[in-house]
Amino acid sequence: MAFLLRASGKCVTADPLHRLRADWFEQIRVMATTDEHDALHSHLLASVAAGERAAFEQLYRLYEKRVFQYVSTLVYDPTVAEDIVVETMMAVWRGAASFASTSRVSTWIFGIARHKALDAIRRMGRHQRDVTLEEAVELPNPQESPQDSVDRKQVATLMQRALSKLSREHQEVLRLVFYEELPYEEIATLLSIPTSTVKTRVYYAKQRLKKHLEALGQKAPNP
Amino acid sequence: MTDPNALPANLHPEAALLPWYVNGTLREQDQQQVARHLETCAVCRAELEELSYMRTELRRFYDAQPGPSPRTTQAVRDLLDRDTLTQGKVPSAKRHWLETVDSWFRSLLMPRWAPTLLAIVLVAQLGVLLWTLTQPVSSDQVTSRSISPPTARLRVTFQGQASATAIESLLHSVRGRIVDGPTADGMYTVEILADNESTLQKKLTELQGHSEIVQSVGRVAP
Repeated sequence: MAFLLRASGKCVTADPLHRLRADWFEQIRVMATTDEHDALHSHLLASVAAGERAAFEQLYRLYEKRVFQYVSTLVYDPTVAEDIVVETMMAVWRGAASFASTSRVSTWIFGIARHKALDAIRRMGRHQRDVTLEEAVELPNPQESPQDSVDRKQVATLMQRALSKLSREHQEVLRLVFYEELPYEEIATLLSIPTSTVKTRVYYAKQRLKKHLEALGQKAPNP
Repeated sequence: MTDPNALPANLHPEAALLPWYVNGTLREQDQQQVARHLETCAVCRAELEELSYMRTELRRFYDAQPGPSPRTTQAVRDLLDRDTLTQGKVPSAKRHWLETVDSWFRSLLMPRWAPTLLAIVLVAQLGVLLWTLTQPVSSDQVTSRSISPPTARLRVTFQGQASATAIESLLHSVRGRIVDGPTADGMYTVEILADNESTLQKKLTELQGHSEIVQSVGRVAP
């Protein structure tokens, strides 16, 4: 089965230069927004280090959901994930002064969350579920007939099913690249792996997500 | 079987950077290199389309996912309150008034502005001390708690029509003060500062010179 875009009949834009210009402006917008966010988060963290509770509450609102979802890609128990959110955010409150500004604030916070999640996984041991690629290939839903168009909700459902078939590592890097929008250097720092491994892992994560989506019979909606 | 630790040999180097070209975090040099490559490589343009679509769908998917339950926020608030009580950090707006008072007293013990306040007080004290030392000191203003200044006592009768203001002014000019009186015949005992006989005579003469105020003046035997 062809991948999303080709399956939906959408083709690559006829004028590649036009497309590249559009990409370029989009990237400038993304980069500017990212820099502003990071500056705001650094400012908030400095205020937290000075003991300002209001700044912490603002930072908490910005990261509560993100940390929870990120941790949920590593531990599959929502209750454990919530406990880790609490532990992580309290570590931020108590240790804001130790932030060395050598990375983004988000990388620092996700790093704390990741260590706590890995500790939780070690504590839970074998009770954790971890789906392998082989399992995923075996899991297309036979009752789901191909459809020519699917609405957004169905896309989300398929995305959820496809993501759930990925390994923890692949779910994690896809989220860090496409949702948290971290540079590969920051991801390498966060995961304590070489940048070349980050690129490789993201490449295969994307390939496998594509395969799972195809296996689940997804058809892309018209954007 | 592909090696999960290596990229495919036929993959363009720029293709490995495409995820970050899409999320806009590549360094400028890499950004330009990928952009130039995309101008000529249809395969990588197709890959870029797929990654862009994947990014859009993943963002939409994660945006729609729920966050933690309200108990998480409450747990963090409880821990913050506990930290505030034990470490004296910024108090919560929704606490019992006794806890607020307690935190206020604690903050007085270890305020961050205490060293600054201390420095200001010390500088102010030093300034006052220096100002006091530079002021001219009149010898007859200096008193001692253990050694009485040289004084003499006079018996003075004032004119009946002399006003209290005039009497007070005259006594001030000779550094004197009423210490006793009046007696039944209207006599006061006045003590004046006089460290020697000539000063005493001078002040006696001055008093006698104001006959409109002083009716009579004489020394009290020591």
